[in-house]
Amino acid sequence: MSRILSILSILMLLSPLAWSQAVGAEAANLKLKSMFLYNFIKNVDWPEDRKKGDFVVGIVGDKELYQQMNSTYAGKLINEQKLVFEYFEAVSLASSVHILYVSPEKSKDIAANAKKLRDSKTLVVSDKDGLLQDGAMINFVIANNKLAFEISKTNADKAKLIIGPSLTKMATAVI
Amino acid sequence: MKRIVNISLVLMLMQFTAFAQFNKYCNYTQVAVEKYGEKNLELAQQYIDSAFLVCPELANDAYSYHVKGFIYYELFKTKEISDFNSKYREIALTSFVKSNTLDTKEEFKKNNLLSIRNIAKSYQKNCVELLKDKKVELAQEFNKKFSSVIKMTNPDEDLSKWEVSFNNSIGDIYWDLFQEDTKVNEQLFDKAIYQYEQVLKLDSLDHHAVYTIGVIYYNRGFQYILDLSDDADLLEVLDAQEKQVEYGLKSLPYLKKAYSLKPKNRETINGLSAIYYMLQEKEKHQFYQNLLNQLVDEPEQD
Repeated sequence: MSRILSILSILMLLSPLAWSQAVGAEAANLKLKSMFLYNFIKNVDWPEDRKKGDFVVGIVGDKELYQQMNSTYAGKLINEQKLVFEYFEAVSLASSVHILYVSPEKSKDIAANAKKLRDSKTLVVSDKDGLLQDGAMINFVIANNKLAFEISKTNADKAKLIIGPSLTKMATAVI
Repeated sequence: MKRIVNISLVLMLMQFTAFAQFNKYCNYTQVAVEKYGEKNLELAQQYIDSAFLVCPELANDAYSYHVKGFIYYELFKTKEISDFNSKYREIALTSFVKSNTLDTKEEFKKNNLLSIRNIAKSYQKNCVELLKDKKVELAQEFNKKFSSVIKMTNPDEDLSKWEVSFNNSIGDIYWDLFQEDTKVNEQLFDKAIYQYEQVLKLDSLDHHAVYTIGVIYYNRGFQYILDLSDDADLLEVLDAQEKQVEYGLKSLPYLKKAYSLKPKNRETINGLSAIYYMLQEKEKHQFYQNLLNQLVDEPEQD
Protein backbone atom coordinates (compact mmCIF):
# COMPACT_ATOMS: atom_id res chain seq x y z
CA MET A 1 0.00 0.00 0.00
CA SER A 2 2.77 2.42 0.94
CA ARG A 3 4.46 1.88 -2.45
CA ILE A 4 1.29 2.79 -4.27
CA LEU A 5 0.81 5.80 -2.00
CA SER A 6 4.26 7.02 -2.89
CA ILE A 7 3.49 6.60 -6.61
CA LEU A 8 0.46 8.79 -6.07
CA SER A 9 2.57 11.33 -4.20
CA ILE A 10 4.89 11.49 -7.20
CA LEU A 11 1.87 12.04 -9.42
CA MET A 12 0.84 14.92 -7.18
CA LEU A 13 4.31 16.43 -7.41
CA LEU A 14 4.18 16.23 -11.17
CA SER A 15 0.96 18.21 -11.19
CA PRO A 16 1.28 21.94 -11.69
CA LEU A 17 1.48 22.96 -8.05
CA ALA A 18 4.31 25.38 -8.48
CA TRP A 19 2.05 28.08 -9.81
CA SER A 20 3.86 31.32 -10.26
CA GLN A 21 1.81 32.88 -7.55
CA ALA A 22 3.28 36.30 -7.04
CA VAL A 23 3.56 36.79 -10.79
CA GLY A 24 -0.20 36.30 -11.20
CA ALA A 25 -1.15 38.89 -8.61
CA GLU A 26 1.44 41.36 -9.84
CA ALA A 27 0.31 41.01 -13.43
CA ALA A 28 -3.32 41.38 -12.41
CA ASN A 29 -2.74 44.44 -10.23
CA LEU A 30 -0.62 46.06 -12.90
CA LYS A 31 -3.27 45.44 -15.54
CA LEU A 32 -5.94 46.70 -13.17
CA LYS A 33 -4.18 49.99 -12.62
CA SER A 34 -3.44 50.44 -16.30
CA MET A 35 -7.11 49.83 -17.14
CA PHE A 36 -8.19 52.42 -14.60
CA LEU A 37 -5.80 54.93 -16.15
CA TYR A 38 -7.01 54.10 -19.64
CA ASN A 39 -10.56 54.71 -18.51
CA PHE A 40 -9.52 58.03 -16.97
CA ILE A 41 -8.13 59.01 -20.36
CA LYS A 42 -11.39 58.05 -22.05
CA ASN A 43 -13.65 59.79 -19.56
CA VAL A 44 -12.02 63.17 -19.05
CA ASP A 45 -12.52 66.09 -21.41
CA TRP A 46 -9.53 68.31 -22.11
CA PRO A 47 -9.79 71.89 -23.33
CA GLU A 48 -9.80 72.44 -27.12
CA ASP A 49 -6.19 73.62 -27.26
CA ARG A 50 -5.10 70.23 -25.93
CA LYS A 51 -7.03 68.24 -28.49
CA LYS A 52 -4.31 68.49 -31.10
CA GLY A 53 -1.24 66.36 -31.74
CA ASP A 54 -0.44 63.26 -29.78
CA PHE A 55 -2.14 62.46 -26.52
CA VAL A 56 0.75 62.15 -24.09
CA VAL A 57 0.57 60.04 -20.97
CA GLY A 58 3.40 60.57 -18.51
CA ILE A 59 4.29 58.04 -15.87
CA VAL A 60 6.56 58.98 -13.00
CA GLY A 61 8.43 56.42 -10.93
CA ASP A 62 6.73 53.22 -12.04
CA LYS A 63 8.56 51.59 -14.96
CA GLU A 64 6.43 48.46 -14.90
CA LEU A 65 3.25 50.45 -15.27
CA TYR A 66 4.83 52.45 -18.08
CA GLN A 67 5.85 49.25 -19.90
CA GLN A 68 2.44 47.69 -19.38
CA MET A 69 0.59 50.72 -20.72
CA ASN A 70 3.01 51.40 -23.50
CA SER A 71 2.84 47.82 -24.78
CA THR A 72 -0.96 47.71 -24.50
CA TYR A 73 -2.23 51.11 -25.50
CA ALA A 74 0.49 52.98 -27.41
CA GLY A 75 -0.80 54.02 -30.84
CA LYS A 76 -4.46 53.74 -29.98
CA LEU A 77 -6.57 56.76 -30.86
CA ILE A 78 -8.35 58.90 -28.33
CA ASN A 79 -10.63 61.26 -30.26
CA GLU A 80 -8.23 61.13 -33.18
CA GLN A 81 -5.20 61.78 -30.98
CA LYS A 82 -2.60 59.05 -30.92
CA LEU A 83 -1.71 57.72 -27.48
CA VAL A 84 1.95 58.16 -26.58
CA PHE A 85 3.57 57.13 -23.30
CA GLU A 86 6.56 58.73 -21.63
CA TYR A 87 8.43 57.70 -18.54
CA PHE A 88 9.90 60.24 -16.11
CA GLU A 89 12.09 59.84 -13.06
CA ALA A 90 10.65 62.97 -11.42
CA VAL A 91 7.47 65.03 -11.59
CA SER A 92 9.50 68.15 -12.43
CA LEU A 93 10.77 66.52 -15.64
CA ALA A 94 7.29 66.05 -17.08
CA SER A 95 5.96 68.77 -19.34
CA SER A 96 3.16 69.09 -21.86
CA VAL A 97 1.62 65.79 -20.91
CA HIS A 98 -2.15 65.33 -20.87
CA ILE A 99 -2.19 62.98 -17.94
CA LEU A 100 0.52 62.33 -15.38
CA TYR A 101 0.51 59.33 -13.12
CA VAL A 102 2.79 59.76 -10.09
CA SER A 103 3.87 56.70 -8.11
CA PRO A 104 3.66 56.83 -4.29
CA GLU A 105 7.46 57.11 -3.99
CA LYS A 106 7.58 60.23 -6.16
CA SER A 107 4.42 61.85 -4.91
CA LYS A 108 6.06 64.31 -2.53
CA ASP A 109 6.92 66.44 -5.57
CA ILE A 110 3.32 66.93 -6.65
CA ALA A 111 2.65 69.92 -4.42
CA ALA A 112 5.77 71.74 -5.63
CA ASN A 113 4.77 71.24 -9.28
CA ALA A 114 1.02 71.65 -8.88
CA LYS A 115 0.78 75.11 -10.46
CA LYS A 116 2.88 74.19 -13.49
CA LEU A 117 0.81 71.05 -14.06
CA ARG A 118 -2.45 72.92 -13.59
CA ASP A 119 -1.38 75.58 -16.09
CA SER A 120 -0.50 72.92 -18.67
CA LYS A 121 -3.93 71.37 -18.15
CA THR A 122 -2.46 68.11 -16.99
CA LEU A 123 -4.65 65.59 -15.24
CA VAL A 124 -2.55 64.53 -12.24
CA VAL A 125 -3.25 61.04 -10.95
CA SER A 126 -1.64 60.24 -7.64
CA ASP A 127 -1.41 57.04 -5.68
CA LYS A 128 -1.16 57.85 -2.00
CA ASP A 129 -3.52 59.00 0.73
CA GLY A 130 -4.12 62.73 1.02
CA LEU A 131 -2.71 63.82 -2.32
CA LEU A 132 -5.86 65.56 -3.54
CA GLN A 133 -4.82 68.26 -1.10
CA ASP A 134 -1.48 68.57 -2.92
CA GLY A 135 -3.08 69.26 -6.27
CA ALA A 136 -3.89 65.86 -7.76
CA MET A 137 -7.23 65.58 -9.55
CA ILE A 138 -7.64 61.83 -9.16
CA ASN A 139 -6.09 59.78 -6.40
CA PHE A 140 -5.94 55.99 -6.18
CA VAL A 141 -7.15 54.61 -2.86
CA ILE A 142 -7.78 51.16 -1.45
CA ALA A 143 -11.30 50.45 -0.27
CA ASN A 144 -12.43 47.01 0.92
CA ASN A 145 -9.40 45.31 -0.61
CA LYS A 146 -10.13 46.96 -3.94
CA LEU A 147 -8.38 49.55 -5.99
CA ALA A 148 -10.62 52.60 -6.17
CA PHE A 149 -10.22 56.30 -6.73
CA GLU A 150 -11.29 59.64 -5.37
CA ILE A 151 -11.72 62.82 -7.35
CA SER A 152 -11.03 66.46 -6.71
CA LYS A 153 -13.44 68.25 -8.95
CA THR A 154 -12.07 71.51 -7.57
CA ASN A 155 -8.54 70.73 -8.78
CA ALA A 156 -9.88 69.53 -12.13
CA ASP A 157 -11.89 72.73 -12.59
CA LYS A 158 -8.78 74.80 -11.91
CA ALA A 159 -7.02 73.00 -14.78
CA LYS A 160 -10.11 73.35 -16.99
CA LEU A 161 -10.57 69.61 -17.12
CA ILE A 162 -14.03 68.06 -17.14
CA ILE A 163 -14.23 64.75 -15.38
CA GLY A 164 -17.04 62.70 -16.91
CA PRO A 165 -20.05 61.45 -14.94
CA SER A 166 -19.08 57.80 -15.37
CA LEU A 167 -15.97 58.52 -13.30
CA THR A 168 -17.60 60.73 -10.67
CA LYS A 169 -20.32 58.11 -10.20
CA MET A 170 -17.79 55.41 -9.47
CA ALA A 171 -15.40 57.42 -7.32
CA THR A 172 -15.32 56.68 -3.60
CA ALA A 173 -15.34 60.44 -2.93
CA VAL A 174 -15.70 63.60 -4.95
CA ILE A 175 -14.53 66.82 -3.36
CA MET B 1 -1.07 -29.10 -30.85
CA LYS B 2 -3.55 -26.91 -29.00
CA ARG B 3 -6.32 -28.19 -31.26
CA ILE B 4 -5.36 -31.82 -30.60
CA VAL B 5 -5.38 -31.16 -26.85
CA ASN B 6 -8.77 -29.55 -27.12
CA ILE B 7 -10.19 -32.44 -29.14
CA SER B 8 -8.86 -34.99 -26.70
CA LEU B 9 -10.21 -32.96 -23.79
CA VAL B 10 -13.62 -32.89 -25.40
CA LEU B 11 -13.47 -36.67 -25.97
CA MET B 12 -12.50 -37.18 -22.38
CA LEU B 13 -15.24 -34.88 -21.27
CA MET B 14 -17.80 -36.83 -23.25
CA GLN B 15 -16.68 -40.07 -21.63
CA PHE B 16 -16.55 -38.48 -18.22
CA THR B 17 -19.95 -36.85 -18.55
CA ALA B 18 -21.47 -40.28 -19.09
CA PHE B 19 -19.36 -41.71 -16.30
CA ALA B 20 -20.18 -38.88 -13.90
CA GLN B 21 -23.84 -39.70 -14.05
CA PHE B 22 -23.02 -42.92 -12.22
CA ASN B 23 -20.16 -41.72 -10.09
CA LYS B 24 -20.22 -39.28 -7.24
CA TYR B 25 -16.46 -38.93 -7.42
CA CYS B 26 -15.26 -36.33 -9.88
CA ASN B 27 -11.51 -36.01 -10.33
CA TYR B 28 -11.42 -33.20 -12.87
CA THR B 29 -10.47 -30.75 -10.14
CA GLN B 30 -7.44 -32.85 -9.31
CA VAL B 31 -6.36 -32.97 -12.94
CA ALA B 32 -6.78 -29.22 -13.10
CA VAL B 33 -4.52 -28.89 -10.09
CA GLU B 34 -1.92 -31.09 -11.77
CA LYS B 35 -2.03 -29.02 -14.92
CA TYR B 36 -1.79 -25.87 -12.80
CA GLY B 37 1.28 -27.36 -11.11
CA GLU B 38 2.77 -28.02 -14.52
CA LYS B 39 2.06 -24.39 -15.38
CA ASN B 40 -0.21 -25.52 -18.19
CA LEU B 41 -2.79 -22.93 -17.37
CA GLU B 42 -4.93 -23.38 -20.48
CA LEU B 43 -5.50 -27.04 -19.76
CA ALA B 44 -5.94 -26.34 -16.09
CA GLN B 45 -8.63 -23.85 -17.02
CA GLN B 46 -10.39 -26.31 -19.31
CA TYR B 47 -10.32 -29.04 -16.65
CA ILE B 48 -11.63 -26.86 -13.89
CA ASP B 49 -14.39 -25.46 -16.11
CA SER B 50 -15.27 -28.98 -17.18
CA ALA B 51 -15.33 -30.09 -13.58
CA PHE B 52 -18.13 -27.66 -12.78
CA LEU B 53 -19.94 -28.58 -15.97
CA VAL B 54 -19.95 -32.30 -15.51
CA CYS B 55 -19.97 -32.62 -11.75
CA PRO B 56 -23.00 -30.81 -10.36
CA GLU B 57 -22.01 -31.69 -6.82
CA LEU B 58 -19.01 -29.33 -7.15
CA ALA B 59 -21.37 -26.40 -7.06
CA ASN B 60 -21.01 -26.64 -3.29
CA ASP B 61 -17.34 -27.56 -3.18
CA ALA B 62 -15.16 -24.91 -1.55
CA TYR B 63 -11.98 -26.65 -2.74
CA SER B 64 -12.91 -26.64 -6.44
CA TYR B 65 -13.75 -22.94 -6.29
CA HIS B 66 -10.50 -22.36 -4.48
CA VAL B 67 -8.63 -24.15 -7.30
CA LYS B 68 -10.63 -22.30 -9.95
CA GLY B 69 -9.72 -19.02 -8.28
CA PHE B 70 -6.00 -19.80 -8.42
CA ILE B 71 -6.10 -20.98 -12.03
CA TYR B 72 -7.95 -17.88 -13.19
CA TYR B 73 -5.79 -15.58 -11.08
CA GLU B 74 -2.68 -17.05 -12.73
CA LEU B 75 -4.29 -16.65 -16.14
CA PHE B 76 -4.96 -13.03 -15.30
CA LYS B 77 -1.37 -12.47 -14.22
CA THR B 78 0.16 -14.17 -17.24
CA LYS B 79 -2.25 -13.13 -19.99
CA GLU B 80 -4.29 -10.12 -19.01
CA ILE B 81 -2.30 -8.22 -16.42
CA SER B 82 -2.60 -5.02 -18.50
CA ASP B 83 -6.25 -5.57 -19.31
CA PHE B 84 -8.25 -3.45 -16.89
CA ASN B 85 -11.40 -5.39 -17.74
CA SER B 86 -9.85 -8.84 -17.49
CA LYS B 87 -12.51 -11.55 -17.28
CA TYR B 88 -9.92 -13.87 -15.73
CA ARG B 89 -9.56 -11.53 -12.78
CA GLU B 90 -13.31 -11.24 -12.30
CA ILE B 91 -13.78 -15.00 -12.42
CA ALA B 92 -10.86 -15.51 -10.03
CA LEU B 93 -12.41 -13.06 -7.60
CA THR B 94 -15.90 -14.58 -7.69
CA SER B 95 -14.35 -18.04 -7.32
CA PHE B 96 -12.37 -17.10 -4.22
CA VAL B 97 -15.41 -15.39 -2.74
CA LYS B 98 -17.61 -18.42 -3.49
CA SER B 99 -14.99 -20.74 -2.00
CA ASN B 100 -15.01 -18.70 1.20
CA THR B 101 -18.80 -18.82 1.38
CA LEU B 102 -18.77 -22.61 1.08
CA ASP B 103 -15.72 -23.14 3.27
CA THR B 104 -17.49 -23.78 6.58
CA LYS B 105 -14.41 -25.53 8.01
CA GLU B 106 -12.24 -22.58 7.01
CA GLU B 107 -9.69 -24.82 5.25
CA PHE B 108 -9.04 -22.44 2.36
CA LYS B 109 -10.10 -19.16 3.85
CA LYS B 110 -6.62 -17.82 4.64
CA ASN B 111 -5.31 -18.36 1.12
CA ASN B 112 -8.54 -17.18 -0.45
CA LEU B 113 -8.35 -13.93 1.51
CA LEU B 114 -4.71 -13.43 0.54
CA SER B 115 -5.61 -13.84 -3.11
CA ILE B 116 -8.63 -11.56 -2.84
CA ARG B 117 -6.31 -9.01 -1.30
CA ASN B 118 -3.90 -9.35 -4.21
CA ILE B 119 -6.77 -8.88 -6.64
CA ALA B 120 -7.81 -5.76 -4.72
CA LYS B 121 -4.27 -4.42 -5.06
CA SER B 122 -4.38 -5.05 -8.79
CA TYR B 123 -7.48 -2.83 -8.98
CA GLN B 124 -5.59 -0.24 -6.97
CA LYS B 125 -2.68 -0.38 -9.42
CA ASN B 126 -5.18 0.16 -12.23
CA CYS B 127 -6.38 3.28 -10.40
CA VAL B 128 -2.87 4.71 -10.38
CA GLU B 129 -2.35 3.90 -14.06
CA LEU B 130 -5.65 5.54 -14.95
CA LEU B 131 -4.75 8.62 -12.93
CA LYS B 132 -1.45 8.84 -14.79
CA ASP B 133 -3.50 8.98 -18.00
CA LYS B 134 -5.91 11.49 -16.39
CA LYS B 135 -8.84 9.09 -16.89
CA VAL B 136 -10.53 10.24 -13.74
CA GLU B 137 -13.96 8.65 -14.03
CA LEU B 138 -12.53 5.23 -14.80
CA ALA B 139 -10.07 5.62 -11.96
CA GLN B 140 -12.96 6.36 -9.63
CA GLU B 141 -14.76 3.25 -10.87
CA PHE B 142 -11.71 1.11 -10.17
CA ASN B 143 -11.24 2.77 -6.82
CA LYS B 144 -14.74 1.63 -5.87
CA LYS B 145 -13.81 -1.90 -6.94
CA PHE B 146 -10.57 -1.74 -4.98
CA SER B 147 -12.31 -0.45 -1.89
CA SER B 148 -15.11 -3.01 -1.95
CA VAL B 149 -12.76 -5.92 -2.66
CA ILE B 150 -10.17 -5.01 -0.03
CA LYS B 151 -12.95 -4.71 2.52
CA MET B 152 -13.94 -8.29 1.78
CA THR B 153 -10.65 -9.25 3.39
CA ASN B 154 -10.97 -6.82 6.28
CA PRO B 155 -14.15 -4.81 6.75
CA ASP B 156 -12.28 -2.45 9.11
CA GLU B 157 -9.47 -1.77 6.65
CA ASP B 158 -8.36 1.85 7.07
CA LEU B 159 -8.23 3.34 3.60
CA SER B 160 -8.12 6.95 4.70
CA LYS B 161 -4.47 7.54 3.68
CA TRP B 162 -5.13 6.06 0.27
CA GLU B 163 -8.38 8.00 -0.14
CA VAL B 164 -6.58 11.23 0.79
CA SER B 165 -3.92 10.66 -1.86
CA PHE B 166 -6.45 9.45 -4.41
CA ASN B 167 -8.73 12.46 -3.99
CA ASN B 168 -5.80 14.86 -3.94
CA SER B 169 -4.58 13.40 -7.22
CA ILE B 170 -7.99 13.73 -8.83
CA GLY B 171 -8.23 17.30 -7.59
CA ASP B 172 -4.82 18.01 -9.16
CA ILE B 173 -5.91 16.48 -12.45
CA TYR B 174 -9.16 18.46 -12.56
CA TRP B 175 -7.29 21.65 -11.76
CA ASP B 176 -4.69 20.88 -14.39
CA LEU B 177 -7.36 20.23 -17.03
CA PHE B 178 -9.28 23.34 -15.98
CA GLN B 179 -6.19 25.44 -16.51
CA GLU B 180 -5.61 23.97 -19.96
CA ASP B 181 -8.85 25.57 -21.12
CA THR B 182 -10.75 27.50 -18.49
CA LYS B 183 -13.76 28.08 -20.71
CA VAL B 184 -14.24 24.59 -22.12
CA ASN B 185 -13.45 22.96 -18.76
CA GLU B 186 -15.32 25.46 -16.60
CA GLN B 187 -17.13 22.72 -14.64
CA LEU B 188 -13.80 21.21 -13.54
CA PHE B 189 -13.07 24.14 -11.25
CA ASP B 190 -15.86 23.14 -8.85
CA LYS B 191 -14.98 19.48 -9.27
CA ALA B 192 -11.38 20.15 -8.23
CA ILE B 193 -12.52 22.02 -5.13
CA TYR B 194 -14.96 19.19 -4.34
CA GLN B 195 -12.17 16.59 -4.46
CA TYR B 196 -9.98 18.57 -2.08
CA GLU B 197 -12.94 19.12 0.24
CA GLN B 198 -13.40 15.34 0.25
CA VAL B 199 -9.79 15.07 1.39
CA LEU B 200 -10.41 17.54 4.18
CA LYS B 201 -13.37 15.49 5.38
CA LEU B 202 -10.96 12.59 5.83
CA ASP B 203 -8.09 14.66 7.17
CA SER B 204 -8.79 18.29 7.94
CA LEU B 205 -5.05 18.87 8.40
CA ASP B 206 -3.93 17.70 4.97
CA HIS B 207 -1.59 20.45 3.84
CA HIS B 208 -1.78 19.64 0.15
CA ALA B 209 -5.56 19.97 0.01
CA VAL B 210 -5.72 23.07 2.22
CA TYR B 211 -2.93 24.80 0.35
CA THR B 212 -4.19 23.87 -3.09
CA ILE B 213 -7.74 25.08 -2.45
CA GLY B 214 -6.19 28.37 -1.35
CA VAL B 215 -4.09 28.62 -4.48
CA ILE B 216 -6.95 27.61 -6.76
CA TYR B 217 -9.22 30.34 -5.40
CA TYR B 218 -6.38 32.81 -5.64
CA ASN B 219 -5.63 31.86 -9.25
CA ARG B 220 -9.30 32.07 -10.13
CA GLY B 221 -9.38 35.53 -8.62
CA PHE B 222 -6.61 37.17 -10.57
CA GLN B 223 -7.66 35.39 -13.74
CA TYR B 224 -10.79 37.57 -13.82
CA ILE B 225 -8.54 40.59 -14.30
CA LEU B 226 -6.15 38.94 -16.73
CA ASP B 227 -9.07 37.79 -18.88
CA LEU B 228 -10.42 41.32 -19.26
CA SER B 229 -10.22 42.89 -22.69
CA ASP B 230 -7.75 45.78 -22.72
CA ASP B 231 -10.55 48.09 -23.82
CA ALA B 232 -12.97 47.07 -21.07
CA ASP B 233 -14.93 49.96 -19.63
CA LEU B 234 -14.68 50.90 -16.01
CA LEU B 235 -17.84 49.07 -15.02
CA GLU B 236 -16.46 45.80 -16.39
CA VAL B 237 -13.17 46.44 -14.63
CA LEU B 238 -14.92 47.04 -11.32
CA ASP B 239 -17.04 43.90 -11.74
CA ALA B 240 -13.94 41.81 -12.46
CA GLN B 241 -12.23 43.31 -9.45
CA GLU B 242 -15.24 42.44 -7.32
CA LYS B 243 -14.87 38.80 -8.41
CA GLN B 244 -11.13 38.91 -7.86
CA VAL B 245 -11.57 40.06 -4.29
CA GLU B 246 -14.38 37.56 -3.68
CA TYR B 247 -12.08 34.70 -4.63
CA GLY B 248 -9.14 36.27 -2.86
CA LEU B 249 -11.11 36.34 0.38
CA LYS B 250 -12.14 32.71 -0.18
CA SER B 251 -8.51 31.78 -0.65
CA LEU B 252 -7.15 33.55 2.41
CA PRO B 253 -8.42 31.24 5.22
CA TYR B 254 -7.09 28.20 3.39
CA LEU B 255 -3.64 29.70 2.90
CA LYS B 256 -3.59 30.83 6.52
CA LYS B 257 -4.44 27.33 7.62
CA ALA B 258 -1.79 25.88 5.30
CA TYR B 259 0.69 28.27 6.90
CA SER B 260 -0.29 27.16 10.39
CA LEU B 261 0.29 23.54 9.31
CA LYS B 262 3.68 24.22 7.73
CA PRO B 263 5.00 27.58 8.83
CA LYS B 264 8.25 27.16 6.95
CA ASN B 265 6.85 25.94 3.67
CA ARG B 266 7.98 28.46 1.10
CA GLU B 267 5.19 27.84 -1.37
CA THR B 268 2.66 28.58 1.35
CA ILE B 269 4.40 31.76 2.46
CA ASN B 270 4.72 32.77 -1.16
CA GLY B 271 1.00 32.14 -1.56
CA LEU B 272 0.13 34.31 1.43
CA SER B 273 2.39 37.05 0.20
CA ALA B 274 0.69 36.89 -3.20
CA ILE B 275 -2.84 36.83 -1.87
CA TYR B 276 -2.23 39.91 0.28
CA TYR B 277 -0.73 41.61 -2.74
CA MET B 278 -3.83 40.81 -4.72
CA LEU B 279 -6.02 42.06 -1.87
CA GLN B 280 -4.07 45.32 -1.88
CA GLU B 281 -2.79 44.76 1.67
CA LYS B 282 0.76 45.83 0.98
CA GLU B 283 2.03 45.67 4.59
CA LYS B 284 0.94 42.07 5.06
CA HIS B 285 2.30 41.23 1.63
CA GLN B 286 5.63 42.69 2.70
CA PHE B 287 5.54 40.79 6.01
CA TYR B 288 5.37 37.45 4.19
CA GLN B 289 7.94 38.59 1.64
CA ASN B 290 10.33 39.30 4.50
CA LEU B 291 9.54 35.93 6.00
CA LEU B 292 10.34 34.31 2.69
CA ASN B 293 13.66 36.15 2.50
CA GLN B 294 14.55 34.99 6.00
CA LEU B 295 14.06 31.39 4.93
CA VAL B 296 16.47 31.62 2.02
CA ASP B 297 19.33 30.01 3.94
CA GLU B 298 17.18 27.41 5.69
CA PRO B 299 16.58 23.94 4.22
CA GLU B 300 13.29 23.64 2.36
CA GLN B 301 10.41 22.10 4.33
CA ASP B 302 8.29 19.72 2.29
